[in-house]
Amino acid sequence: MHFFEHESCGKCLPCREGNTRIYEILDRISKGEGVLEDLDKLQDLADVMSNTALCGLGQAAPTSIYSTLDHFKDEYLAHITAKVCATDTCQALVVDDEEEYERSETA
Amino acid sequence: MSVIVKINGQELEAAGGQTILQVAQENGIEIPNLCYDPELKPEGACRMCVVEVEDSGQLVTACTTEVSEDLVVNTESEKVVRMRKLLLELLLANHEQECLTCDKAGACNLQDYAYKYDLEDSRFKGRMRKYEGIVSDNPFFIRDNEKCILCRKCVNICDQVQREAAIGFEDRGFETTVTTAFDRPLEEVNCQFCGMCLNACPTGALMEKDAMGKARNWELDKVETTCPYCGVGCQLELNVKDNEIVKVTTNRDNVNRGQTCVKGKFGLDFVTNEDRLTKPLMKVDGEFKEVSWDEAFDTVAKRFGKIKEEYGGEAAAGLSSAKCTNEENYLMQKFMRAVMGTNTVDHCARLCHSSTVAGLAKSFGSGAMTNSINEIENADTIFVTGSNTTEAHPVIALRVKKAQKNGGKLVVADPRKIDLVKYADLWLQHKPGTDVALLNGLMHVIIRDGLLDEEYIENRTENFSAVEDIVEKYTPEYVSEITTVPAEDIVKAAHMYGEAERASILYAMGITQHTSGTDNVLSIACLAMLTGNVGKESTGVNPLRGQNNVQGACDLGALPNVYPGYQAVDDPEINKKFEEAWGVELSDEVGYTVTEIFDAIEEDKVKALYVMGENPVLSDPDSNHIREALEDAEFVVVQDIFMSETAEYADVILPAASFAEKDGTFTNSERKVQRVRKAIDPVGETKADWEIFTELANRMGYDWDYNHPSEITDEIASVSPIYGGIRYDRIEEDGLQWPCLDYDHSGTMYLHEGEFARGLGQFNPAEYMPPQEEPDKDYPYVLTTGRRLFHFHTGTMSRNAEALDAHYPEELMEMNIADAEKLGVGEGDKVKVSSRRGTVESKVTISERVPEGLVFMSFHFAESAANVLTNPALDPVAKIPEYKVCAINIEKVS
Repeated sequence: MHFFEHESCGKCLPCREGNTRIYEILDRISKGEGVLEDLDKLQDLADVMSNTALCGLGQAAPTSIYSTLDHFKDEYLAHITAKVCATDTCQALVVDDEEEYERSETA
Repeated sequence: MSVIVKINGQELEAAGGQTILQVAQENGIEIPNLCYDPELKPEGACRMCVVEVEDSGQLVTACTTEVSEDLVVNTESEKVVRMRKLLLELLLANHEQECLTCDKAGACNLQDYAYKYDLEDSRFKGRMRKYEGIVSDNPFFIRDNEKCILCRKCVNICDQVQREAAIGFEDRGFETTVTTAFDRPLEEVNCQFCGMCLNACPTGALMEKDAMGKARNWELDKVETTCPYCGVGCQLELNVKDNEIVKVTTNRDNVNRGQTCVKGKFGLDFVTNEDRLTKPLMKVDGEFKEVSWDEAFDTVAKRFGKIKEEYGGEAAAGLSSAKCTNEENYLMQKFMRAVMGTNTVDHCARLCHSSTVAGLAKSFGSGAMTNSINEIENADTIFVTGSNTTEAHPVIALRVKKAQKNGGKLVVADPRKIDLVKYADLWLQHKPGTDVALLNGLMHVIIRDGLLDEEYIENRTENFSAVEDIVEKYTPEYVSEITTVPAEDIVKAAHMYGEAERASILYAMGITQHTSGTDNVLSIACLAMLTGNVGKESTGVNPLRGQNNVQGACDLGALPNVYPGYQAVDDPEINKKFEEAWGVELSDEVGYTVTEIFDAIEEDKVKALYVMGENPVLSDPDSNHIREALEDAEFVVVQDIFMSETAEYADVILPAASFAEKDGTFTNSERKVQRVRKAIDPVGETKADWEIFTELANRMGYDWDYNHPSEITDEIASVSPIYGGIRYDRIEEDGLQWPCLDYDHSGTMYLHEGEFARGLGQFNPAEYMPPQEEPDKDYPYVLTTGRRLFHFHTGTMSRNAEALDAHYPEELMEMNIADAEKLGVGEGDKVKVSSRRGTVESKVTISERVPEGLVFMSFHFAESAANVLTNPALDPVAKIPEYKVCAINIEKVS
């Protein structure tokens, strides 16, 4: 999303403001600071961008949001509710302690 | 081609090419929008106007989508509403909700839409754009970018309408900011401070500085009235709270279409300036002392009565005012004619467009702008000569710029590189005072190259052979020698003008204020008739009138030779008609003109002078002569809103109410009679000019019974055929353009359709005559005078408007860099300027606007009064002085 935020020309409202908000929400989730309502917000932002953005950039920017919400909703939920990143990509959520990891798995 | 579309179930007829938004608005269907403005190309940036196309379920922006046959849209479908709410939420996430203290509250589109879609707050709050506080880099308005929603209207208006592009965008994406290049202060870039960006701003990002903290929008009464500055006649809304004009806004359904210039938008606070005259004053032992109205009225009535008794009415003279209303001008001339018994009433039109009235009346039969302001935009070629339109008639200049942007050709003929040259396809820089030669050159080429409209000349005009005879010798080469304009440019200009389907000529003082002023105007009329460009839409000969009501003052007979409606005083029939209407005996002798009045005072033929709202000491040529005459006069009454340079010489000063304190009408440059409405109570003990005359006439034994200006208008309609259909209830919404013959007549958009007012148009070509005073050894420079954007006339209004005077406090004489080097003068240095008539000091600005040998001064500043220098040599027909050319010498002041 950083790419789209960076590429947005700033002319149309949904792309200019939307990309930044999506990025902020994803960033929060990746740090374990996400809340469940964030998923609704992502859906809303994706909808307003794909439906109303002026050009292809803004319309296509939320494609990854749609596909991840479709196919990887459990990962979002893991990040938000369990504060866990299964793929160890989100630095803030990487767990070193094996035991703790197991505990969180069962939780 | 029209199409049928369905919006929200309503079947509507629309013209092909219209957008969904336009069709909706025309039919009263509101579609929210933040970046749309009818004067701009659709931007499609805010996306608020999305509507749902029924077939496909797709959302399209109504502002950019053209209608097509059988299009069915819904402007408030569930999907549309959801999207709009999300868009608004995105905006609110980046906009502090400071509505409690924001001056825009109540007139803010963002606030209105948040209310409409029931949004209290935004779920998307996060990072916000941050700026270093409010930018306050000028005396007129502030920019608060934290309230900016990036609708882009301000930038687009500056670029597309004002065409200055003083502001633009910095950065991109989320960081986009509206600012100037390199964030320089607006005062250092080419901002015209027209305020149109403020008028368009949907939020509180741009606001009138002076209005901050003074009122909530819902406390303001909006009083629609006509601007008191130039002759465009912009309709303004005075926003009033507690008897104070808090700010000025405008709406769209009028001549200015929501546009303004700096003076109308930010220059009206002179009304409540503390220096206003508030009580009648009388000179006792050389000092003014305050007196009651009763005493003042009595004194004036007695003294004027005595002068009439002793010397006859011809010993009185009246200077009427192009700043006052039609009704007041009517009463002024009626007072001079019916009460005093003299036709000596004139006003400053003598000094600006008397040559127009003389020249166009002779050629066409009517001396006014032939076409309307909004027609200019559709001309194929516009020839602007002797008009610094962007500064003297800023809103008309917007039409010229738009015409050029739309593909029209713009030819500018002016000795100075005025702002309009930036947009011109061709600039003819002729020597001051060589206009007849230039115009003859154009006509020579038009005839030589067969660009004339032979059918038109044959059917609609007379005396064409005179043109052929005279212009024959004005070959481009010969004209080039006289004017210094390259011969090939003369040919080019003639072709641009002659080949256009609709060609319009705009001119002003650069044509009229010469000893050859009437010849200049006659030649312009020839040029237009030669090519059939009179009597059609978007063509014509268009003299731009300088004062808000100079057209009206002329129309209402504040001229020594005609009664209201240009009816000659020496026509026995007419004279009889007015004698019957006014119930008195009237003089059939033509009176003195402005310039003749002051000579007549010195020759003891005129003893008493009544000056209403004029300042001849600053406005008339050779000021020292005017001062002497005023000293000599036996009795001088000055009726004004401020103590002027002229009022110093008065025996009695009557404090008048300003335009904002009374009802009335002004007639703008395009002959449109528009309402002036009372917005605040008269300041101090001031009275409206019409009230003053009514009272005076009664004290002098006449029974004048006017309780409201509308009653005067009804009387005007009964005696002046061209105003025959003007009545207040007919001009409440929009003005009427004269000729408006009766109460069923809808006014006249352009004159001379089918037939000229005088029957056939008459060609009156002229030979070139050089200006009366040319530079020589002692006075080696040429001085030309004119106006500046930020000031007006003698400054009575603009110099008492705080922001205008703060922004432009002193005269800066324009001088070419070569001359500056020769004289050893630098930017801002002081110089002594002298002519055969006097000497003034002025600061200098070094500029490419003037060629070597020519300097330019405005006449706004008493401290550097240009008219001490100007030459009172008169045009023999119109008696207009040659303000535009005089010989001067310049010395550096150490």
